[in-house]
This record gives sequence, structure tokens and C-alpha cells, in this order.
Amino acid sequence: MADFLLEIGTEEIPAGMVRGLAEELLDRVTGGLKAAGLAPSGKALIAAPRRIGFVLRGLPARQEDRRETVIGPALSIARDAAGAWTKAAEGFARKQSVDLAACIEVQGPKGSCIGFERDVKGRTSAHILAEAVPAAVDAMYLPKAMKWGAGEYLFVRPVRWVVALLDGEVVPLAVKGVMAGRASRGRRIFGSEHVEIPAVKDYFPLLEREFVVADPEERSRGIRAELAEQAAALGGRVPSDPELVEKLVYLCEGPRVLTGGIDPEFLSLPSEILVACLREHQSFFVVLGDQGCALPYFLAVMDAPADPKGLVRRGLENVSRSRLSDARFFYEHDKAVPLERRLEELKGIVYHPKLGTYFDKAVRLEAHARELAPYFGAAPAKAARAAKLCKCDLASLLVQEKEFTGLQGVAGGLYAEAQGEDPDVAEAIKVHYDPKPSAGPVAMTVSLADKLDTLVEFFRIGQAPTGSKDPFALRRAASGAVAILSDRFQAVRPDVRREDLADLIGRWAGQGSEPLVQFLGERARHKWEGEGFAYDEVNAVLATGLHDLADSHARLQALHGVRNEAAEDFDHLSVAFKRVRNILKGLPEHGLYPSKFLPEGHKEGDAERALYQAYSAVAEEASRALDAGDYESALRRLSTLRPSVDRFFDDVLVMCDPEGKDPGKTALQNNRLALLQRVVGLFNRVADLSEIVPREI
Amino acid sequence: MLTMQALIEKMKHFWAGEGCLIAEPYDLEKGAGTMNPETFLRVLGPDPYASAYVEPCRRPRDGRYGENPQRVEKHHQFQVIIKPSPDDIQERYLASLQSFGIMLKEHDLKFEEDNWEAPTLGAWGVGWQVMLDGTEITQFTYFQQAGGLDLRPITVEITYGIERLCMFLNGIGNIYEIPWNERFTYGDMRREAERQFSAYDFEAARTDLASRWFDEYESESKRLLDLGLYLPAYDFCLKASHTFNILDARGAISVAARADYIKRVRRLACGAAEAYVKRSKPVQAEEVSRG
Repeated sequence: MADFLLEIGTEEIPAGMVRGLAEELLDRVTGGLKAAGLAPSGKALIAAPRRIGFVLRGLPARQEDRRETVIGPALSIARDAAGAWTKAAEGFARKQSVDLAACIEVQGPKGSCIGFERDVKGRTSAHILAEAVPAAVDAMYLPKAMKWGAGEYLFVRPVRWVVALLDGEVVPLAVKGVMAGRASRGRRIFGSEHVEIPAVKDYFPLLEREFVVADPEERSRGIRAELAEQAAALGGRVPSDPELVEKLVYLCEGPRVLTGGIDPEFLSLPSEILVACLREHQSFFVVLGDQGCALPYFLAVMDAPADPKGLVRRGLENVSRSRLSDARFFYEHDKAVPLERRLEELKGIVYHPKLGTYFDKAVRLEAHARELAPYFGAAPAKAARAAKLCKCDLASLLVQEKEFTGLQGVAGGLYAEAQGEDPDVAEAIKVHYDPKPSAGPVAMTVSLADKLDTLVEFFRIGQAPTGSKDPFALRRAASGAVAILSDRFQAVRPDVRREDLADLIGRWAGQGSEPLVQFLGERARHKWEGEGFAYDEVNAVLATGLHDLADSHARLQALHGVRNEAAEDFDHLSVAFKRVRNILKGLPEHGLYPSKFLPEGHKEGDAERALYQAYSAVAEEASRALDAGDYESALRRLSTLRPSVDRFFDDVLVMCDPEGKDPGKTALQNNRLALLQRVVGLFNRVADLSEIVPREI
Repeated sequence: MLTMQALIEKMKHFWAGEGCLIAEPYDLEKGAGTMNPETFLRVLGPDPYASAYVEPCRRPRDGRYGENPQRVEKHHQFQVIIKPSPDDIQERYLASLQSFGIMLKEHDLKFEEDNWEAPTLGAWGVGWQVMLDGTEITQFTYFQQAGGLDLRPITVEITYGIERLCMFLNGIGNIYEIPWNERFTYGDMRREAERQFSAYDFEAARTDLASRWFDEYESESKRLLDLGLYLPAYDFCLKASHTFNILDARGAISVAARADYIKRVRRLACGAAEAYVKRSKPVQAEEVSRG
């Protein structure tokens, strides 16, 4: 058993690619080894700006020896009529450098062939690695590839050195024209540019001595620990920001956290702007105090072991000061321009060439929000005002800076607040891109108006997403709309007539409403399955209509809950309802005449009367519960029909007159169909149980 | 204190020592040192080359009337190009910083991904911005394509922002406080020009004239390309490009028209690049007169 170390030394790989490339390299090499019958017992990743690679532990020194059969031409060619080997057989033997006498009859994939057996010596791991590693590197997917120097090789960045060791021995291989050796390099500037690695086990400790932490997890732990420690020492904390930490992990080979001061004059900036400014420009973490307000400190991650003269700190503080002055200039300037005046400027910002400008969108949103407001119990005037102004910050200096585009909405909200807009209006502008469940009715209204407008308009011009193509992020818009329509909407307004809302959406969408409703249904399915509802439950609910997602969600919750209480009943009902679905397909509604059931004492009559009675016993109560939207008690009541339904199908032949030849029997049949229509009709107000996939039977 | 002119001397001295030819700026307005034919044309073709030069760069949109301490209409780049890119180019670059007096062990230096693309030149490259204590001091690029042509061998381009670096070295935050030499500041040298060119770019430039110039420069460039005079043709391409920048600063170019202008400049640049690569024999004066 041996350990194998591969380190491909490069110029700085983009932070966003280091990990993916290192992992792919590891996967491909281990894949190649596995195909050769070599499996390591452990592995460790090497992933830092100037190096990707890995250590494989417990690798067999060589493949097992094995016996293999070499198969040649078919016997029909290899033997003549007398059974002697032919010219073809001789040719085969010569080509394989084997004595014809050693050849035998073997089974090939298509029948008997000439062949022979031979012993194959297992190859050494070093040999196999020398082929597997370059092949793996050449097969890697490079998000952005480049050439360098003479331009012979293509990789993510120039390859400058390669270390490939099997325990203490160099494995003779080359990567992108660079021969492997045992010389690695330490941290730029601080470490040695020539670090001899005697054996694999020395790699990590030797590099650490040269200020390189090659293991990304260790760098990540180090950064997180120092962030927490230094923030605590300042009496604050830094909110978790895994994305930024990840970026810094792969931007540094030996990261250290450093505390810097924020000039207190900038603390009057809204903390959203302060945080975004220092994060986007400088990758700093702003230290927050108890109330979530900023303290006059930032934490930065430097790729240097120390800051002996405080020069790094001073430099970072200088840069932060000029960045914050810019941000403050933008903010103060924007604040002084009433949002309403920005509407004019929106005429110059194209939303989409076929859909006009953001001004056109603002006009639409204002109208939509006014219409939607009553459904959320929001004041129409406030909703309309917020909708009209919600895109105005796109024309502000701040949001037009690329570092602050992420503040769209938030910035507008801050300006609205500062300009004395109604607090509900300001909140709505602030959160309309992604409202939290706790957002107020005006915010919900504006957000839904925005998302629906986006969907309706892009569907109208034939830009519905296809496959992986979704350039206008319509799935996200639809998911946002579904979130509001399904859960949040209910919390805001349980009493409203939701069908009207659905009709409203249909009216906006016009001819495009059918595909749009389908699309929303798909996003709803995605969301609900993600929340743990079974796919057949989602199917059952969506089969009865996608129209009203809030109602659908309520029904789904009821179905899920009651089904779990009485799984067996639902299994039976689903089997029965599948039959019913087939029977009733396309039939008109029939009148139900209880007097026309077959008489008591008759087997069929007893069964159909029993079902009728059971139905009558629950129908009124269930209908009342359904009308009140109490789907759970309705469903619980309805599920008590299961024994009668089962008995009905056991004993009654519903289609007793399929050809319609006997008027008496036709009447009987129609009456039975009518009964089933009533029963199914009640269930269908919650879900189409024929979509349920039985668990037990 | 390190003055701007002393810094430039150190830069030239260092790169001359690395075997670079020290060229002088090209005498036409341009947005970046890359547009100097010393870079744009020299990166093409197989011949090894190494040169370094200061390049004044004009970016009309960045003008701030001499009032913003960080942004200016005209700044200076120090441009280094080496073909093919040497294996130890990063180490040489770091040595250049040391030679300017930066003790790297006292600072935080990062190479952060920053790929470069110049649509008007049909050029792109892969590389980094070099961050020193959070300040971007250099753009470091491996050219992959120029004038729409794939490059081989590959040229490395190092572009120092001279003002940025000088501000960093002197620990000052205002560009106009840079000491140009012991007597004059950057402000003395440049502020009035900043004020006047901002006024020209944003207010006084006549867009009707400029757009006519653009058309004329373009057609002249095309005519010269047809004559095989790709060097003058490239000059007119640069003039068209700068005129486009002025129109842009004046707000005279709509989003839709922008792409078209860029395409027109690129066509000229690509034409010059192709002609440069194909140059097998020098152009004869008499052929030109006959043409």
C-alpha cells in the first residue's frame, strides 16, 4: 500500500473555479484508477489559488496478476473441414506472438473462436498513474480556458509545476508539458519558491511551514473562527455569509482576518448600503451590534501572515473611505431626487425591446396593484402609489453602479422613507422583489403585481422558458407568485373570494392565460413537493384545477393530513375512483332518483341504497365544511364512505345496460351513475382521489 | 515621497532591464494603452517582441471637471507587453513592485480574476486585477485574441495604473495631490485640462459634427485598407473610436445604436489586424499612387 500525492501548481486560478476543478480532477483520477482495479482507502483534497490536487491513501502498489483469454477469429474461419488450423489461425497466432500449439477453442461473444489464455502481470500503480493523471487533466471541463507562452496548451491558468509522488518516489508523468517532480512552491512573497517534498506524508506540514494551507476546509474553519473571535472582541458579530467566506477561502493560500475601522462619519448611512458597499467592493464583513446596526469596524481577510506595520490596515481603511464617500454621494444625491421625478427617466431604461421601458411597466403595475389590493385588504391608493414608484430606483445613481445593483428595491425603499412616503409604501418598494412571509398587505400586493406582470408580458411575446433556457428568470418570478398566492395570501386574507382573484389573473393574461396557469401549476408542484407533499397528492389536487393556488394549497394540506390518518381508506377509495373515472368519462350529469334503486333485500339494491344513505348522511355536513373551506373535516367525513363504496363496487354492476337496449335498465344505470357522480363530486371539491397511488394494495 | 516622474523612470528602468524596448506614447487619442499599435499589432503573428511605454488614455465618460479625487478624463498607463509570455512573468512583475520601493512582505497582494475584453478591437484576454491592500494597481492579461484573430504565441500584457500606484506609494487619496516632480503637483499639470475637456465632452462637443467625423474616419480607414496602408488605416480606426467615445459621453448614442457603432469600429480594427498579419512584402509607394 502506498500514498499518492498530486499537486498541479498554477498561476492564480479564479476563486470561483478552484474547488470545482480540484474535485473534478480527483474524481477523474480515482475513476481511472478504479477502472484499472486500484482503489484507495482514503483521500484528501488540495485546493488553493495556486494549486489543485489531492492525496490518495492506501493505494495498492500494483494491480493483481490475472489470467486472461485472448479471442481471435471464429472457428468457421480458423479451422478447415478436417479440423486443422487454417491460414487465418496462423495469422492470428503470429500477430499475437503465440505458438499455434498453444491455441485452443474458446467462447467468444458470438460463438466458438480460436483463442488462447495467458498470464497478465499486474501493472504498477506508478505506471497506471502516469497514464491516468494526464488523461484526467485533459478531460477536465474548463469553464474558461486560456493559452500561454508558445500557446501549445490549454488550461484554466498556466501550469508552472507538478508534484507527483508515490510515497517517496516521483511518478514520471507530465501535465500540460510540465514534468512532475518533488519541488512544490510555498506562499508567494512569504514562503520559499522551492519546497522539496521528501514523501507524501510531509506535504501538508511542509506547506503549512511555507504559509500555505492546502486543505480548503482548514482555511474555511480558520477564517470563520477568526471572524467570530474578532467580532466578539469588538462587542459585535458578523452575520453568516457563506458565499463571501467561500470566495475568500479560494482567494487566499494562507488567510488571516484583520480588523479595520470604519470612519464613524459613515455610520449614518443606512446599514444596507454600508454593508453592500464594503462587501461588493472590498469583500469586507461589517461588524454589527446588538440591534443589527453597524459598529465602526470591518473585518477583512488578507492573504498575508501578519500586518506588522499596520500598512495593510491603513490601506484597506483608505480604500473603504473613498468607496464609502462614493456610496454616500450617490445616496445623498438620490435622496434629494423625488422618486416620482425618476418616472420620467424610466422612459429611457428598456425593460425588453418588445415590452417597452420600465416606465411602461410602472404604468401597468400601478393599475394591477390597484385591482389586486382589495384581495389583500390593502388600501388601493397605497398599493398603486408603491407600484408606480417601485422601479424608480433603477434610475438612481446608486443602483446604476454595478456594485449596488443588488440593492434595487431596498434603495428605492430607503429613498421613499427619507422622502416622507407612507411607511407601507416605503416597505412595499423595499421588499417587493422578495417579500418575507411577514410582509404587509401593500407589499404583498405590489410584489404579486410585479411578478404576474412579468409573467403575463413575457408569455404574451412568446418568451416562456423552455428546458434549461430561462433568460428572464420567469421560473423564479412564478415561484415568487406561487409563494404569495399559496401560503402568504391565505395568511393575509382568509375570507376573500379567491375565485375572483384567479379570474383577474386570467383577464390580464387574456389568450395566454392557459399556458401561464399551467406554468404556475408546475411551479406550485415544484414548491409543494419540495415541502414534503407526496407527488400523487399534488397531482390529486392539481387535477381538480390550477385556478386558485391558495385554495389548492389548503386542499393539499387537508388531503395530506387526512390521508396519513387513514391511509388504507384512501388506498381503497383511489382504486374505486379510478374505476369511477373510467365509467363517468364524458357522461352528462344525471338526475338522481332515490326511489328508483332496486328494492331492499335485493343484493344490488341493498348495496346501492347503503351507499346512498351513507352519502346522504355525510353530504350536508361535508358540503357545509367545504363551503367554509374546512377541507380537513370535510375529507374526514367523506372518507367514512369507504366501506359503502367498496360494497357498492363488490355487489353492483353499474353498467347494467351498456348498449341502452332496455329502457328500464337504462334508467337503473343512469340512477347509479348519478349516485356516483354525486359522491365523486363531493370528493372532487378537495381532490381527485383517482390520482392517489395506493401504498399498501 | 516618490514623484510621478520618478516612478515612471523606475518603471522604464526596470523593464528595460528585463529586455523590453522602451517605446514612447502613440500620438493619437485612445482609451487604453492596448490600442497603441505597439500592442494591438505587435501581439499578432509569430515574432517575439517585448516593449514597455507610458500611454496617456482618454475616457470622455470618466471626466469629472477636475472635481473628483479619483476619476479623470485622462490618465496614464504604463504598458508592458512580452511575447511569448515568460514562465516567470508573475515573479518578474512582483520584482518590479519591489523595485518601486514596495516591501511586499508588509502588504496584502492578491491576483483576482479579471478577464479583459475590448469589443471595438475584437480582442479579449484572460487574467487578473492585482490588488494591493485593496487597491487595484495593475491589470494583468494573457491575450487570447486580437483583431478577431486567435493568437499564438501568446502575449502577456501588464498595465499599471500610474496614478493609482503613485497615490498608493505616497499614501494619498486625491489624485490632484500627486507630486509630479518636487515643484509641481498633478493638479498643477492636469486640473485645468480636466475641467475644459469635461466641459467639451459633456457639453460643448457638437454631436452633428462628431457623428459626421465618425462616418468620414470610417470611410477613410476603409479606403486606406483597400490600398494596403493598414497603419494609416488603423490611425483612422483610432480616431473613429475616440469620436465614438465623445458621442457616447454626450449621450448621443442610444442603446440600440451603440452595438452598431462598436461593430463598425471592430470591422476597421480587424481589417488592420488581418492586413498586418498578411504583410508579406512592404507596400510600394508607386503601387499606392497608381491605386
